Amino acid sequence: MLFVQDVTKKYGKLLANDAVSFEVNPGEISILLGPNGAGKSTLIKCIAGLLKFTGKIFVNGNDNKSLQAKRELGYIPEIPALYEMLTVWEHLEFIARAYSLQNWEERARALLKRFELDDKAKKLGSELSKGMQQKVSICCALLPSPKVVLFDEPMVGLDPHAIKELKKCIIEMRQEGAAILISTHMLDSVDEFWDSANIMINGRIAARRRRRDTLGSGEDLEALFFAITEGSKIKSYNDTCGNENLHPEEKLG
Amino acid sequence: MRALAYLIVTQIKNKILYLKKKPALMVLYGIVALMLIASIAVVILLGSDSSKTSSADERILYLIIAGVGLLFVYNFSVSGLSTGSSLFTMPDVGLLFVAPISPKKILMYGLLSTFGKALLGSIFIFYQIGNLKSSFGYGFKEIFMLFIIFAIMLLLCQLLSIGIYIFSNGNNTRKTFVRTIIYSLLGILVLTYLFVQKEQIGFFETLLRIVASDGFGYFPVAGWAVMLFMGVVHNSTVKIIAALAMFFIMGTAIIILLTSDRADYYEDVLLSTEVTYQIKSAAKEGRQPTYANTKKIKLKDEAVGIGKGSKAGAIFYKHLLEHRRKSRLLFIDSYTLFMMIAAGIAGFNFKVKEAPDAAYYAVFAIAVYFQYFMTSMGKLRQEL
Repeated sequence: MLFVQDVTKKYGKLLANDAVSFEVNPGEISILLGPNGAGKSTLIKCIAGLLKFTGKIFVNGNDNKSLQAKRELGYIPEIPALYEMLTVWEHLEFIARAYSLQNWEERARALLKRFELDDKAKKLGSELSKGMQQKVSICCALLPSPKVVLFDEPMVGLDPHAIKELKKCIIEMRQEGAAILISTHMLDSVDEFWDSANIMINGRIAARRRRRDTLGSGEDLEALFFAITEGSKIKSYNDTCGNENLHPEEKLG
Repeated sequence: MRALAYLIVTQIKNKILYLKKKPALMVLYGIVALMLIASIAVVILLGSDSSKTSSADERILYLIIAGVGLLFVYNFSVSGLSTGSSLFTMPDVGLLFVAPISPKKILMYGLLSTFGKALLGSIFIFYQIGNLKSSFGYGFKEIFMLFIIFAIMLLLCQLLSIGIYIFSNGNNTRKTFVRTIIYSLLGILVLTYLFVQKEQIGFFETLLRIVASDGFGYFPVAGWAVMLFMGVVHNSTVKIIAALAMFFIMGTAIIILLTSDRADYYEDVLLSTEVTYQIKSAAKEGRQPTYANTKKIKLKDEAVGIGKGSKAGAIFYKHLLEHRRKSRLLFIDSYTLFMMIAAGIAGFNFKVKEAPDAAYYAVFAIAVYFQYFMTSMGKLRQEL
């Protein structure tokens, strides 16, 4: 389970995240939606333990900067970067050693096969294209079977097969009880499997929805997204849908 | 094997194996290594000449060490005020920082790999082995110490940069405080120069006297490096211990700052790591890095917009706008100012009786030299 409470992140005077709170339960796929500069990647980096912040973040009950939390967390960064002088297989071996994994080889082979990297196992990081690097980055994050997984724009740069496999992987992880958080600004890429959605703008979560609620109310997530992110449309949207669907903090206008 | 040891060993192994795919590079490295071994072997076989057959002024070498040290201190301090410096790479951020490995162990890995790179970068000193031996009569011990001193300075200055970044990031008062210290130290050097210059001993002799003085030995990094080298050359244990102690205290203080709860160094090295990664990626792909300029530019509303030009003219006005935003003096940026000062100093000091016009040639040569780099790295290349 991922628990985020009052997370605020400032870069000098710039408020990148403003008292953000939400949680992702086991077996749930939660998405962070928002336009460029909304603060999604900053929030993901805070959760991954890369940035300082005020507030609380817990990964399965452990402070996110503790080694135990890191053992249970998988992070796929927006820009994949591999060690130039490690082969694909050696990246996985390094991860296995870092996470003290036992009998990891079979899972590693399965992941490589799934992402069509099995014939690239002996290729160095420097010899891979951006898309392949992204696939290796995904394999590295998934090898330890994390209980909480963070994806930062995971579909960017992937080929159609890899996108299909990644979506399958995400759904399988949900079935296995992982809490999954996906940051994206591409609604279409996550439309088929999200369970909860957090729409961010100006560093704040402007709206939260659960799929089951929107199915019941007939509310369209895309319409809500544009209503929030394109300020001029808020009024007309509220007039159409009624304000009762919005949190108090959602009333941006 | 533990993860970090595996990472280091495997990367070194693969770097060596990679040479099999690049035979020309392997031949080149082979030749370089042979020359290096031969140079060292000659010095060892001939032995150290304690009588110092040559009459070359040892202070010239102190001046070179001091110059390199000051350049490092200034450049790394300035980078500490903007992006900081990094002991890490982007793969470290994406794979290592998020792994369940103690941040202190990761810091040790960063320090070790940076020191290793600094040592590799210092190998060029061994190619001066012949010069150093014939000019100063130095043996292997002195030359090896030069090699170590250069690497220590590089490592310490990177740490200094990170330390300054942690201390001043997001706090303008602290940034001003750091700037005041940097410029005060430079001011002290200038005042010392003016004071010694009173004796009418000439520019070069003044510099030599300053760097060889006991007082300069306490100047951060550059002075300590000179003191350490002087200690080795003159077998002064006190100087060696004093210099090493100062290096150690500074290094330890910054590492404590890095590992303190408040610092949380992952974020402190992140920006610099990202900037370095973008610059390297851009260089590999043959394009200009967009992230390289981290200077904040305040825009006035009335100054927004290219305004003039069409077709090729639009490019001209675009560059004009960029120049105006980069520097208040339009075409005169910090590089140009630096070039003017360097050329001015050169012109002032190249006074040769036999060739009174030498100063003009010297200034011209230096101007052309700098212009070459400015052009090759500047906007012109971007448009081509």
